[in-house]
Parts: sequence; C-alpha cells; structure tokens
Amino acid sequence: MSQGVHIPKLGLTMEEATLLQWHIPSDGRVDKGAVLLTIETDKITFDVEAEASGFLQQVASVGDRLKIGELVGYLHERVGQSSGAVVGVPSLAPTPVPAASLSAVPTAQSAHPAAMTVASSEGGRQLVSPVARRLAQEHGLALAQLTGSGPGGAVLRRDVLAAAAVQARAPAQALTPPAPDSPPAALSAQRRPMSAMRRTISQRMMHSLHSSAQMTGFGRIDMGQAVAWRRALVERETDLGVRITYTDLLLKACACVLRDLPEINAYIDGDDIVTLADIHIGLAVAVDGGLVVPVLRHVDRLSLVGLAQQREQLIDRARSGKLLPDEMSGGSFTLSNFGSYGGDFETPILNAPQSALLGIGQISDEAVVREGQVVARPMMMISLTFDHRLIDGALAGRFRSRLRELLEQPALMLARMR
Amino acid sequence: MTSKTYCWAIIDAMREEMERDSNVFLVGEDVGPAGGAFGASRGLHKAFGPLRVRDTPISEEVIVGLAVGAAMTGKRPIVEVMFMDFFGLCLDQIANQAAKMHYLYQGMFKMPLVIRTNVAVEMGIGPHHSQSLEAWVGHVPGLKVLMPSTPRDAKGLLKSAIRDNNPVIFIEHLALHRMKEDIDDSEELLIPIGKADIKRAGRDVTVVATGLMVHKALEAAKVLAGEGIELEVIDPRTISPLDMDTIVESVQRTNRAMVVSSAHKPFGFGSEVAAQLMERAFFHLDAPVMRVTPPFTPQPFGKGFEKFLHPDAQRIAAAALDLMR
Amino acid sequence: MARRKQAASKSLGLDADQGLKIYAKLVEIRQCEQQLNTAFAKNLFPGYIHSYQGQEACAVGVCSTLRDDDCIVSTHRGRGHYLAKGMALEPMVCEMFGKANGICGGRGGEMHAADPAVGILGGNGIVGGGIPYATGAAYSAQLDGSDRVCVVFFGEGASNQGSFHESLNLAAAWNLPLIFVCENNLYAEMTPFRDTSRQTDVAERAHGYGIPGHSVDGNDVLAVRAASLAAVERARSGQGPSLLELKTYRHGGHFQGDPCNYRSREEEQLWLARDPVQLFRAIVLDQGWQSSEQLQALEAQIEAQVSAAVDLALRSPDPDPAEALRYVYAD
Repeated sequence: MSQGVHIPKLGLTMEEATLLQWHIPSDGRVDKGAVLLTIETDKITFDVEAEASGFLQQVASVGDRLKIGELVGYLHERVGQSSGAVVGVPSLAPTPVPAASLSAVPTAQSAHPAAMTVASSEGGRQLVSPVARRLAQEHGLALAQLTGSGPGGAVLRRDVLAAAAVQARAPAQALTPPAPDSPPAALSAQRRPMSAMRRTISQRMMHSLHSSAQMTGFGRIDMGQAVAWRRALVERETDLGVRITYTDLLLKACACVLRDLPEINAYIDGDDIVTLADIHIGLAVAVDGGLVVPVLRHVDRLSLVGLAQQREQLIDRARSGKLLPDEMSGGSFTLSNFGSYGGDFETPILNAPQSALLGIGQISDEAVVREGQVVARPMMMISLTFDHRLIDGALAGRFRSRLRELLEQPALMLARMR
Repeated sequence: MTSKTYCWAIIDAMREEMERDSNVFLVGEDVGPAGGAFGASRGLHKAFGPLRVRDTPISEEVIVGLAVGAAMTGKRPIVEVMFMDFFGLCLDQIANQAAKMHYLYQGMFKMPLVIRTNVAVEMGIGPHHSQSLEAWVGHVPGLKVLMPSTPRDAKGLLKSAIRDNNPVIFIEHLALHRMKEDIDDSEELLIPIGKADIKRAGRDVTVVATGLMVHKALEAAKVLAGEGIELEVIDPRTISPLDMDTIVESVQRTNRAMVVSSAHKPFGFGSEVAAQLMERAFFHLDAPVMRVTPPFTPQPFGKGFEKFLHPDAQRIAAAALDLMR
Repeated sequence: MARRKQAASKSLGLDADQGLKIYAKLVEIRQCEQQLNTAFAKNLFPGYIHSYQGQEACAVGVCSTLRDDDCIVSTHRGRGHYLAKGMALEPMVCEMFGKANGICGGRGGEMHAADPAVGILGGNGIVGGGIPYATGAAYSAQLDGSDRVCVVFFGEGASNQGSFHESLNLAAAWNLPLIFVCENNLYAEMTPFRDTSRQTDVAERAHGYGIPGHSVDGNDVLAVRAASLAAVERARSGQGPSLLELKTYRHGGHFQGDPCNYRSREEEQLWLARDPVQLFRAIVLDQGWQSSEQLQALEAQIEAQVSAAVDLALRSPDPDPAEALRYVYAD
C-alpha cells in the first residue's frame, strides 16, 4: 500500500505553502517520524515529518507553490513503485457535505493517455468498463495500448474516446516503433516485425471486418461493347493525350450508378446514416510492400479524359510514395481491379467507413448462349462487397444490374453524362 | 387549473371514478364520516352514502378479503390499509388469494381491486409506521404495484388503477400529502400503468428514484447543475410492471446509473433495477450500478434518527460524484 | 298407509322428486370419493387427495337449499361442495386429474376448482383462506340490494384461524347475508379438536359475535337441510349471518395415506355405522319413493357415470406446459 504525502494545515489562516527543500531523495528510504521536506508559509517555515516508513516518490518540486492538502509525494512499500492516480481531497461519500465544499471535488482527470502512467491493478489484469471495451472495439483501438483514468486505473469511456480522437487526427502515423532485435529464430520459421505500412493495413483490414456486416454479390458482364468503345478510344490516344483504360470506363460507370443510387454513396456513423453529395472514388493500387488507395474526386463530373489524367497522376505518385494525406481520404466508394493480376472474382474487404466496394476481374473470352446459340463473348465478373447494415441485397443487386446495363450499352452513359 | 395537494388529488380520483362507475366502492378504517385517518377520503361518505364508503373494524385480513370477494362477484373495490407496515396482517388475502384468482381459475374471475396504503417514511413515527415494502408485493406475480410521487401522478395513476382489472397496490407517501401541483379539473387525467416519467433530463448520470426520493434527487440535481454535472432523474411511477425500456435508453446515453430508494438495499427495488441493467445495458455501463438507500436497520422513533439514516440531497449528490470518478 | 306416508313426507319437507335428487347426489359424491381414492392408491391421481367420504350429507343438505345465483366458497376438501352445488361431473373429475379439459384447464387441481355460473367461488389451499372473501361475495349481494346469499364452508380447524373470527365479526357488524357452515369432523388435520380448543362446540362461538349458532347432526341430511333452510331464510330476509356447526366424521384420514393413528377404531366404527348415505337410503325406501331394485339400478348408473368420468380423465390430454405463462394478468 502506498501513502500520499500532503501539505498540512498549519494555522487558521494558512492557505498555501512553498516547497523549500526535500530532505530525502526520490527512491530514498525514510523511517516514520523522519523529516521529509521543509515548507514555508507566509508566517512560518515548517519541517514535515513522514507519517509512515517507506520509499519516497517525489511528486512536487522545490519552489512549487502548493495548497493545503495538495499531494507532494508518496511513501511506497517497495522501491520503484509509482502511483499515477491523482488523489487530492479524500472521497466525499458517504458523509454529508455542505454545499459550498462541493466545488473542492476533484475534477475529472485528464484524459490524455500519454500523460498518465497506468496504476498496476492486483494480479496485473487490466480493468476496463463494459462500455469502454465496446467503444474500443468499435474504434479499432487495442485495449493494451489504452491507459485508464478510472478507479484502480480502470479504462473508462472517456479514455477510449480521447484515444479515438487522437487517432482520428493522425490516422497514418505508425502506432509503436518496431520491436528491438529479436533473438535468433528457430530454423523452421522466420520472424520479423511488421513495417508501419503493413501494420496499418493489417489493423485497417481487421477494423473494417469488425465494424460492418460485409457481404459480396457477384455479376457477369458481357464486355463486348465496352471492349469496342475502349479500342476506339485507344486508337485516338494521340488526340486525346491519354490512354483510356478499362479502369477509367469502370470508374465512370460506377459514378453514374452511384448518382442513380445515392443510398450506396453513404455510410453509417453511430446511429446515423450519412449520405454524401459528392462522388469520390478510391482506386486500390498495389505498391511496393503493400497497397494504397488514392481517391479520384468528383468522378461524376469529369470527362473520361479528365478522369484518366487524374488517375495516371495519382497512380504515379502512389507508386513513388509521394501521395499527400488528402489524396488518400474522403472517398465514398472504392474500385479494385484484380483482373490486372489474373483474378476472376474475390470478396474484397470494404474500405471503412465506406459501405460499398466494387472489384473487377479480368476480361476473358467465354462460351455463352445468345439466342439459343453458343458463342464466344468477352466476359468479366464483378464482385460488389457491401455493408449489409445499410444496403440490402436487393439494392446491391440493382447496383450490379445498372452497372451491367451501362457497360453492355455504353451509349446509355453518354445519354446521362454531364 | 387549480392547485391541488397530493391528498386532494387522491380524493378527486376516487370521487371521479365512483361517479363514473357505481360498482366502485371504498372500505377501510375511518374512511367514512371521519374522512380517512389521513383525510384521504373527505367528502366521499357524504357524496356516495354509507354502503359505498364504509368503515370497517380493525381487521386487515377480512377487510382485504371482503374486497377480494366483492371483486370476484362484479364489484370494483378500493381498500385502504392505513400503513404499509400492516401488510403482514393481510398478506394471505393479497398474495395467496387476490394475486392468484385470475390465474388459478383460468380467467373465470377478474380481480379489479385497488389496495391503497401509506408509506410513512421520514415522518418520525417509529419502527411499525415507516417501512417501504414494495419489494414484498413486487415479488408476487399477478399484482401491480404503483408509487406516485406527485399530485398529478397520484391522481392519474389511481384512476387508471381503479379501471384496471387486476389487483393493484397503490402506495402513497404521507410525507408528500401536502405537496401541491396544478391540475386541470376538466381533464380526464389517466396516466398509464407501467410507464416511467423522466422528471429531469440530463446527460451525465441516470438516477432512478421513487416516491419521496424523487424530490431529493431533483434537489441534488439542482446542486450539481451548478458544477456542470447534469443528472437525469427518472421516476418509474410503476414499481411492477417496471418500465425498464425508459431506464435502459437513458443509461445507453449516460453510461452511469444509480437507484435512490427509501427501502432497504438488500433484496430491494434497487437490486431489481441493477440486475436488469446488467442484463440489458451491460455494454453501456461505465461504472457499476450504485444503490443509495438507508442502512439495513429498523427505523427507530424520532426525527433525529431519521435524518441520520435517510439519504438527503447532499448524500445523493455526493454519490453521483462518486459514480463519476 | 299412503296418507301417512304423505304426511311423513310433508314433515320431512320434501317430495319424492327432491328426495331422489338428494339421494342421487349423495351417491354421486360417495362414488366419486371411492373411485378417486382407488385411483390415488394406484398412483394415478396427482398431488394429495383430501377425501370427503363420510361428510356427504353436509354438502348436499346445505346446497340443496341454495339457488344457482347463491354462491359458495369451499376448502381444500371441496369435491362434495362442488358436486352438490352443481358443477358438472366430467369437467370436475378432469380437473382433479389436472387435465387440459378440466374446469380450470388443469391449473387448479383438487383444491382449486370453480364455476361462477353456478356460484362456486373456488376452493383454497390455505386453511381458512376462503372465509374472508366470502364476506365480499355476500357484500356484493347487499350492494346490489339482491336477496342472494353466500355460504362459506370450513372445518373446525379453521375456526381457530384469525380469519374466522375477523369474518364473523365483520359479517355480524355489517349484517351480511353470509352463512358460515362448519363441518366439524372432530380432527383438524391429524390433531383432535379437543386438544386445541377448550370450546369444542363451534356453534357456541357464534354467540360471542351476536349471531345465531346451531349445532346439527351432520350425517342426517334432512337435519342439515332444515337448519340450512332456516339460516338461508334469515339471510335472504335481511336478518344477517348465522353459524351452522355440522357434526360429522371423515371416513378416511386428513389425506389419503394417513394411517389415522390419532383415532380409535371404536370411534371409527361408531361413525361408520351412521353412514349418511345409508341413513338416507333407508328413508328413501321407507317413504316408498323408490324400490330397492330401482335404487340399485340408480346406484349402478351413477357408479358407471363416475367410472366413465374417471376413464375420460385418464384418457384426456395434459395441459400444454406453456399455458403456465398465461392468465397472470387480466386485460
């Protein structure tokens, strides 16, 4: 048990004292009755004696001006113990308290996790309130990294919310420095710490899966017309100044569908549904060591050429690690092309907090039936992952069928293009 | 609108219901010409005559029994049991007979019975005239238990109780008898049974309080508001069936709960609220549910003891602060 | 000869029709008790069984003086009262076996059967528990200004409960149309009444409350009937309550399985010799209302009816356990 050392009341009119001198160093052993420190009031100089034996932890410093009862240090049973909990006036309950003294109640402690050292609870088990545990999970925060300001060092709601606010301000920062060199690994396995990017990806993936109800629906699209359109545009590459890709076509088509189905350009925040007016689409880009998602802005308002130009610049900067934080945020939808590495269909993971993500596979010739005949057509599978909390199967189905419509008859996109 | 006391609100409720339905009658000790031991039936004997407002002998068991039998045979009796401390004398008729008639006989008998009684907490009368025993009757399936804390609530709930086809224990507080509130006489004031009332909204702590404690909690809330702490004070009004939906919704917002009651802590009303909050709002609790009650002793005679034993606004405020640590 | 018989009938206060009805009811109750006791011994009857065997004249004598709109409140030993007041045999027997088609859906069982249509306001598991609420049923009649009456049955053991005394006092003070009928079978559960009461004539207690009290031979159905008629007439005409004490005897123990070590065999033999059913049978024959063969035929018919009711009950379905969640509150 640790005992607090407080400024004593030395006279009727005394209000504060100055700490003149510590007689025992921090971690020094002191016997009960020995002089711990000297304080000075407006009237006298006074030696404060230790009320118990123990090892001193100094909290206040020489020269500090302190009020009556204020904590200046601790006497611990064992050397090296530390107490982080702030204890000022002893607890008010259960004795009746006159109204005036209620203002002397200790205020809620600072919620800055970095400023607190965790009081070690008995048995070393971290105390977490039920709501704090739930909120930590919702915000994707690891409990082990939270410090508690509640009784016994318990992690409370305010601690989690404060940590979440800190995280929100600096989303891309690495959370902890890499672990020091680990001892030589066993021959059958190799161990190395994750890079900051890998750690971020890993946390974001888990957070995404834990914070929404993700389902993936598939579709098959006859890309015949789209292929023809694209070939025509590629032939005019010099005139246009940029090489139009399938990604560009898909981006544009998605933007058209999102304009028609604004319920998908939305996300859940707490108990609210936030529907976004602007259509900004993230594009998953593989880079050295991982994956980044630059965001193309106002996809619905750009021409195909404008879209392609923006796409080229962003991918360039992504691959050379020069993307700005603003260029990686603010998306309302994401497109992922796994056809580029030979995939057909997958169940992509949502880019939280977005509610939908479209994955496109490779375009390859397949045997299909048209008017009773087996013919070869260039087919592409689409994989639409959606948050089932917000988007029901029928709505997701409408997205896919609308997209199919636009890609199988691209003229429809032209009809509605601004 | 007239300013009515809690006591007159109760008289008004009975008079209106007796005018409306000739099957309603009132029996109890001193309820007739004397107008009630606490004046809670003044004017009724004159208005409705000696058969419908009748004095009984001091025989709690048969007084309640009479009401049970009358209720089984088409009447809607109101019984006054002077102090809730006397329930021990008539618990068989309440818990074994009234509460189970409809159930045992598969609905062949209805039991539209109201037992009005008084909890005399903090009146300084002594150990046999001071107990808040809602836990005794809240524990019996088939009974409904009400505990209004204001004149409006008393009137509206008593009218609803009289119209209810179940045995209802209507618990009044002597200490609130002179409390005043504006009531519109022309309004048919019916307050639903089983619906809590948020007497004061707040974001920091959910305080569930009953009877006299509602007012002390509101006082505590005023004190703490000056410190920037906002209590939400919920008056369940109905002890059983308890409106946990309102309480749970509140705790989902505040994440902290306490129950303030004049009854004892062990096996008491607060235990029920705490258990249900564990079941329904566990993942919203930032601290354990706290119960603020007098200590577990009988109530000795005199105001000095009473003041020491019973929570007041200061103790409630201090407890709320403790909860917020 | 015929005129003498007619005169005798007149003094009995009964004609052949009424007499036969009474006899049939006595037999029905006796058959019911015998067959249910047998079922109990075969472990077919759930819970306890509190047999009414030997006390039939009490229930029949009293209830034969009541109308359908009069009501009765019974005890834990209620089958005699239920049948005498007009509860239908089959639903009653099914209720005894706790079946879904019992008169209370099998929820009440032996001690809690009721039929408000014929004024049966239930039995009770609490000794003396029904006496207080019988006052309320009587008060309803008074409030309505009707001439309905209420009869509450109880044993001499209950006459020591506070509820008995409070109810007698209230009924007397308020002049309620309530008839208190004490079936004194000399033993409260397994303890002789004389060991727990100084005043063993329950009727005498009435005087303490200012109302008439009469002690009657409970095995003589006509005596019971006569006393009851007088009490009912008093109540109907607004003269208030009475207490009837019917001295009788249980043929079996407090409950089946009770070895009755607290009674002497001599005492039992004495009372068995005054079997109420046999006593009235003799009167029926003596009055010439039926011949011996006719009576035997009637008895056989009733035995068969009861047997059929028991068979029906044994074949009937148990209630759906989920029914236990219903009827806690009325709408």
